[in-house]
Amino acid sequence: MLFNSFEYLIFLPTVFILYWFVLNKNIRVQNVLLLAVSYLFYGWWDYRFLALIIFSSFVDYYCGLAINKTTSTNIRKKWLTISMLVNLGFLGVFKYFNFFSKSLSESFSSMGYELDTLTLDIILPVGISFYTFQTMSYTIDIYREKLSPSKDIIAFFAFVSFFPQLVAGPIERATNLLPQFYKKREFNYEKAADGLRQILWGLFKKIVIADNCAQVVNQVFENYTDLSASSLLLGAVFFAFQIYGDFSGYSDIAIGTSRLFGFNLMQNFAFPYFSRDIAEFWRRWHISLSTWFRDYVYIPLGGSRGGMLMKIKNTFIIFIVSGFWHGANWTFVVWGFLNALYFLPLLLLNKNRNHTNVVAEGKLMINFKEFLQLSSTFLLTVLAWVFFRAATISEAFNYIMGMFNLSLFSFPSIDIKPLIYIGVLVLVEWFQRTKQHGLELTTLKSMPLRWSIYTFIFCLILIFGAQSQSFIYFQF
Amino acid sequence: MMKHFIKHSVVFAVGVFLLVFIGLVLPNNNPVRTVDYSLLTKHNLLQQNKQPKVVLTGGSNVIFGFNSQILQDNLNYPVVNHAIHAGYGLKYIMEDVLQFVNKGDVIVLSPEYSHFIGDNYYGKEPLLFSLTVKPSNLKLVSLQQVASVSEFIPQFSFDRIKSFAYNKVKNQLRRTNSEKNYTEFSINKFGDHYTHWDDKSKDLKFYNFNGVVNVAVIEFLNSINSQIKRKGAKFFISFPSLCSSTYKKNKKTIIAIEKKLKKYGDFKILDTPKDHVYEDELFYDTSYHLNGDGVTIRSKKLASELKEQLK
Repeated sequence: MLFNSFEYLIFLPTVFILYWFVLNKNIRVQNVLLLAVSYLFYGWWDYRFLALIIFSSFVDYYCGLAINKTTSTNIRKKWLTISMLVNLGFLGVFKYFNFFSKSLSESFSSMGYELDTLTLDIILPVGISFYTFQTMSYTIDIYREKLSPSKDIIAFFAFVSFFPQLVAGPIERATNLLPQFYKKREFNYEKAADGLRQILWGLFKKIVIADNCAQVVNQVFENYTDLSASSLLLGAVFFAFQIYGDFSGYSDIAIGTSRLFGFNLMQNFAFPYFSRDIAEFWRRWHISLSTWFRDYVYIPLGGSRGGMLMKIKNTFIIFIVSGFWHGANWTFVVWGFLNALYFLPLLLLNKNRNHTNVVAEGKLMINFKEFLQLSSTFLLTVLAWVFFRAATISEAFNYIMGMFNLSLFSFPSIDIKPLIYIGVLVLVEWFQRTKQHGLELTTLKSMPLRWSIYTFIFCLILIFGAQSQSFIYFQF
Repeated sequence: MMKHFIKHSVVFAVGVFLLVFIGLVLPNNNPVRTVDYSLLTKHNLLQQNKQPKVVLTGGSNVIFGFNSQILQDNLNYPVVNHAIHAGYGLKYIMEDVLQFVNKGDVIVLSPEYSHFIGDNYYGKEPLLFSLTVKPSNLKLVSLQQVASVSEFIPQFSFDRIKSFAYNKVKNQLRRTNSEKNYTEFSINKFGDHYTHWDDKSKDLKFYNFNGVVNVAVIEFLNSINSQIKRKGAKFFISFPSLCSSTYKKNKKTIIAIEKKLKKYGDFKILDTPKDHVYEDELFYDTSYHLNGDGVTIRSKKLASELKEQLK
């Protein structure tokens, strides 16, 4: 079920009413409801893949208990390995099998040996990368004794399949989300109202920004050989906003929806295009995934403890793995590698934590130096996004080559209307950059003004919203 | 707290609902109305013609695909071209025409290929246009169709508000609309779109039909066939006209559609997809819309196909 669909418009208020008015006496019954509606939400897309979530939940629930039951490191390791094998096995089969099989056959073919490529005719289950990472963090945290295993199977299953963030994150840690399923949730007006505002802002980002940009981006990438450099550059900029609007929009709707039900999810995007260097960008972009890789890959690999070489090696590993997490294609690997390259100078100069505050904090405008920093960081990310969007590496290279010629100074021949919508987004988010989301208006006391803003955003969605497209991150 | 929240949410939702509703019921003040409004004329033609007739229906490949005079001369049956837009969805198109089927009628459907993909046969945004033209047709619309078009309702409503305000200003400035094609006056006495027949062809729009063939559409056509038969009429399917470039691009899907139609369909199919693939030069503006020359060729072809069946 899509957040921007008619079905969801019926689904959400119905669940809300059942949750707060009909089943509000018993927390366990509320969890059963959340579990049932989460499975309905997921099964709406393809009910057959519910079996995967149920199996994965069951394995991790059982492994968690088994790890906790013993003090023997060997046995604990064994159960952790089972959990990892099942989760990574699912990912391997459903997401990466065909990729590895084709790559193997191609590499043999380049050496002169012909192998028959064995590929599986399978569909990638929506959200598999998200919920497998979420459940893996659960068993790893139990193994590390940071978390006690859940003894409430309903709460655990509801945690794994919690519908707002099930298919595209944020990838929640069990330490944050699971305890919220044990406690009685109280309705909080401020929290719920702000949740609705966040949903509205998420819809704006998805329907007005991402979907409008997508229409132009699709045309540009399909016909990039015939377009001027300025059109290609603008197309790449539009893709940068498409993916931001799409993914952060989804996260906003997910977080806002959770707040309606009394849950707090982590912030997943903190206005990443207002970053002064690539390190800051990665602290602000897809935070739940970046911190996941930091905690469960980078630090176990030794992190930054073993000197500069170790730091560089580990940085490249997590960026490349992060790229590969996004999709089974070499383009994503190159995208990750490119970001690691961008990161390298900051690492070598020990400047990767230079900007931990908000840009131009307490000021209305940025200075010239900050302007240069913001623009150069943005342009670097735009170049990297070309690899993310292109179908092949050679297509990405050709696209980028096409961006550097004299026609860069000509007027773009593509639809530039999305620039207006992007302008509205940037303006609003600039003024809200210290907040949790673009429409956080808790300090604005005037109700008529608040309502006028909601109505204005709503009208923008209705008037300028493009034809709905599926969320990009579903494919990951 | 909760009461307060519900009250505010409901007030906001009702406000939005009212705004959308106003857009839906605003009158169309455009001096030249779109071809969707030809539905009323076509209904009149169907109602007035009580004797057995040939009714051509489907998407825009039909309204842009025939010169009914040629068919009428060859078959000695009166002919009505009922088709307007594929976006209404096959379900709506067939249930609309079914209201006017009489004993002895011959119904020839040329569905667009996209009708067989996914849930397209429930209709998309154009269905909303048709319902504003003839609100009483709401009775033909199922819940699945409502769900299928629901995402278009808000924008459709706002477009109508914008158009209403714009035409109000435009009419005051006494501007005239010089549109010739795609209007309610672009159809001849049979219901064919004819005003483009002498026009030069434009840049063609090529299509990609992606997706899985939906067998439910064929089952739906089987039920339509049974209903038509019960009324003492005949039902045939003829493949749509398609330009060769789009055919080449989508050959695999088209063959899959043809195979499934033959395997699951209980109705008579007059031809094969290839029979109605024509050179790109015979098309007007899209892969389905024939120009004057194309219209003549296709009309003669269908006339001979039907003649065989009506012997």
